[in-house]
Amino acid sequence: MLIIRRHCGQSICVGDGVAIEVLECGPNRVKLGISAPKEVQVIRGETRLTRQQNLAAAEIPAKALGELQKHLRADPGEPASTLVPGADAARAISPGSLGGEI
Amino acid sequence: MIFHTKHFGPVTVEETRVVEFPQGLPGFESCHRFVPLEHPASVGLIFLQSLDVPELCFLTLPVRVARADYRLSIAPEDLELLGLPEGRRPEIGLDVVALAILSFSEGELPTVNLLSPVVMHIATRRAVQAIRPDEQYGCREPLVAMELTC
Repeated sequence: MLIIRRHCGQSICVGDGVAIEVLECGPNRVKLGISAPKEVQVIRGETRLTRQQNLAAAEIPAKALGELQKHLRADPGEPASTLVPGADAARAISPGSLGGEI
Repeated sequence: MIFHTKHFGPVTVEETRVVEFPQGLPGFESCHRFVPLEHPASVGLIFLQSLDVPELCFLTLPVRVARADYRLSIAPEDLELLGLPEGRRPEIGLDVVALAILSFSEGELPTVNLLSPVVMHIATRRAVQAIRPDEQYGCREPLVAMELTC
């Protein structure tokens, strides 16, 4: 990682066409202005982390569900129930009722 | 309406159960409609099933199941998106539902994303994946021993 110290008002240039300027410095945070071409994506680090994590979470194969259930059960010795496919077994929940159970 | 789901085949869903994500989720920006599902064989798990992409279904837990003392921290722009007033922390169970997305790799223990929970406004059924502006939790927090009860 390249480490550069900047004062308020100073800037950093990255590659072709990307510039980052320190606009304000506070005790806990910094305000940055970023100029970049339209095709260059600029996102917060934690947004990228979230994106990567969502992509990984979406990859859990359907067959791994049984294994996951074992980790979640209070009694790991209990045998795993099998999912019953079909319109009757799974139920859509209203967000309101989800709220009531917490 | 009957929708095809990743884990359960076709499921009947009423429109009143559908949750709208105006911005989708990071990585899935074009997926706007989801429905939370539960199943008797997976008590405690909430399956967040996409109605736009049948193969897309996030496994989630209510945040307070993962961490009993979890407190929300939502950026102002996310509060606005949800239609919630600024300056007041929404209450879990009263104003909003907060779900943490689970990740699971073979041979590893499952982890839960407490950095960016899915927050649903109960009254409007609008939702956003609200990334915490503070440093309190990570996106791959371990699951501690839990009791999932009916």
